[in-house]
Amino acid sequence: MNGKLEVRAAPHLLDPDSTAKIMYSVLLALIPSALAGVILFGVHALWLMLVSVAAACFTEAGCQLLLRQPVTITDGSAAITGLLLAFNLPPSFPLRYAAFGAFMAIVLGKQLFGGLGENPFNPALIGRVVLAAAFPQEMTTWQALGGVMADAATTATPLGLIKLGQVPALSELLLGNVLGCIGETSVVAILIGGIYLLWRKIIDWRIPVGMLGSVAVLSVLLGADPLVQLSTGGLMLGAFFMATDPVTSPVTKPGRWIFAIGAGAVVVLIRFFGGLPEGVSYSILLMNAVKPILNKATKPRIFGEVRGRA
Amino acid sequence: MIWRPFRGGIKPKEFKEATATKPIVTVPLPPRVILPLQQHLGERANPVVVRDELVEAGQIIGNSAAFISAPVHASISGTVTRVTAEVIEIARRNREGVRELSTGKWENLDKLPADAIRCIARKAGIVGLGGATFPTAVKLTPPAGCWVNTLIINGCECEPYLTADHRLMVEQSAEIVFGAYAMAQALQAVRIIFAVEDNKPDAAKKLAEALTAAQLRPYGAIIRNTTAEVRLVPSRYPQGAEKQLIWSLTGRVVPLGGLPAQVGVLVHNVATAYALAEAIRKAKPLIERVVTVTGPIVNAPGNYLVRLGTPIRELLAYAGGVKEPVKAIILGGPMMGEAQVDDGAPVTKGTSGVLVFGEADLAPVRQTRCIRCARCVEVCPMGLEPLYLARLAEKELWSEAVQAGAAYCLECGSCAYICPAKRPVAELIRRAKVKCQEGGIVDERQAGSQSRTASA
Repeated sequence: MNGKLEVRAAPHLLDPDSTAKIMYSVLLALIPSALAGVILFGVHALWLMLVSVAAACFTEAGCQLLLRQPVTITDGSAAITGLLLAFNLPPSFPLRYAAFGAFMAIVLGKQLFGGLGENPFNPALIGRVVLAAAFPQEMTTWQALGGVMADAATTATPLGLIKLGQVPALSELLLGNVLGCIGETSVVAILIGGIYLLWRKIIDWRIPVGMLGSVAVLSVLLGADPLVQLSTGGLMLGAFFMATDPVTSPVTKPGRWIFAIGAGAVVVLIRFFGGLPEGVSYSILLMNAVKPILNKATKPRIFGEVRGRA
Repeated sequence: MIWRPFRGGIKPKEFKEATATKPIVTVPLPPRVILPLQQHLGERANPVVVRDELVEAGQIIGNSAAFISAPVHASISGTVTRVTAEVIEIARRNREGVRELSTGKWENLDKLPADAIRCIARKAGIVGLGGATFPTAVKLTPPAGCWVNTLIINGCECEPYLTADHRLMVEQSAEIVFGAYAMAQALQAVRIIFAVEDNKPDAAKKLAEALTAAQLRPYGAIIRNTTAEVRLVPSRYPQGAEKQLIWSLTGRVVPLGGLPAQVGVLVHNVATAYALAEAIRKAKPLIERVVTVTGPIVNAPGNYLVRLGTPIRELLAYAGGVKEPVKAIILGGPMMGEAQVDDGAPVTKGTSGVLVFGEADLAPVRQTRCIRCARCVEVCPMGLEPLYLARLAEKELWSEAVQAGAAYCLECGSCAYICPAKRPVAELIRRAKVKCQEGGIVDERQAGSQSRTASA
């Protein structure tokens, strides 16, 4: 026999899926929404996405170089954070502020806690919340700089209009022909990506189903049109792409149900009783904070374990 | 058909097509055998022969007085060339015969009381041939107060690549059925279930035919006193794991840290039943077994009946050698088998397969960070949370790992298989298990269940 044998630990057979494949599948699933954003809101939307992704990747690499860690921007996770942050920005948002948001998302939301896998909160949402606090004016200015929405008659988002007592047409909401953040308005585009991720079993169906379901049920109970509630604001984007982040959602199935239903309930609370028109970011961040408790409370039963008899 | 899905599990690619239809081929006697004195769980056997002694195939060359142990027999006739506390080597002389057991040959089980069957199993050196290698005679002795009413004969063979049990079921179904009845006789069991994964319908059919044929054979009253059936179970790894199989077939849950006998069940592998039948009917000690030799670079993959102690090198040469340089040799299946440092190791009682991989089959594994995707939680058949156990093991928090359930890990490897970050989850948990056994750290749950058993 020539050459030494390789001695690895069992199992010697591994599933072909990898973390990078998962991340790139998520990026692929975000492309329909990105296209919709550019079509609806013009080239500036594209610039926002590019700047945000570049800033996120650059920041991640910088942090890792500074900490003398291997640079892992090729795994796609920083790009996802950057793209999701851009999706959460108004179409006319200044590029330099977007870069700042991506920087904060990576530093404050991810690297400060130890990088991929260790962050308690969704990094993109951290970036969004930082921007909402730092630039409240710019974050609530709804104006398309180009694209289909350039000559929109209104400068309010559907949820803003609802607060004023006007309900937009459902077909417009589904296509995304309304004002709002770049990646959140087109329900159809989000569903295309979301269904792809469900089919690839990359996201757990319990999270979108639980979150959207609880919003629908609670809206009905509060006398609102559930379809309009589901297709407005950042709910669809949040339910399919933000709440499903594996790192910041529970590891158990019952935990994921509670997580999702809780997030939906908080969205309804904020929308119907809060001062803000929209609360998807805060609802997910709040449930992110509850995640460790959910993991503990819903620990799976070990096969053969007799509880409460020991 | 009643079947309860066990929790978790995976569906890896099977890779069985290369050998599933290859009949068992008897390998010529090797010129030399290496027989470890520890081919079973329990006490190691002590050598009872000296160097230069002439031995006959079937002669006991290692034995132990301990209850949990098994004798080792010479697998070929020849001269003992080396004796150490661990291993005995024999160089062949040209004699073909095999010394028979002194226990006689039996066809009618009525004449064999439980103790006689256990005695034959012990004298023949039979151990669990599915890979666990627990002495069969001991397993056929249920703890006091437990009546094993149900005997499960495990023909699941859920490990990818392996087909040795499959071929044995197809070609030796009558013997397997006889062995199963003998086990039932030893246990006074009233029910025998043959469990076969549904990817082997031919094996299930052969077993069912053999069961029907057995009704007309003079095997004794045990045939009338037991009900026997063949059950197909879905192919899902690790369906063949003892506790999971018991649950799937009977709905009984083996308590944590407990034994199957506590819920009235015992699981034996089909190859073990076959070996017992050979010992009872033909007075044959366990000196050979069927091994699947396979892998993408093996020229003639197949199922080989080979004498124990045959070096892997010889077996591989008999299987036509390899097409490319060998990069890894694994004894057992790909999920739980052990990688070898060279090709000099011998086939032992627990060797169900020899897996040979070349360069192309061993892609470099790039380990990344855990993203908490929880796929490992989803697939763990024991309901553990492998990601946390592995994390504790990485930090060497052994005691914490045990409190989190590390001791109950089956080591099936499903977690590491599914991990997209390619983390050695199973290996880390295994390490925690070993450390705790060494350090005598016991989980509170298990401590509780043991005291319950003791007081019961």
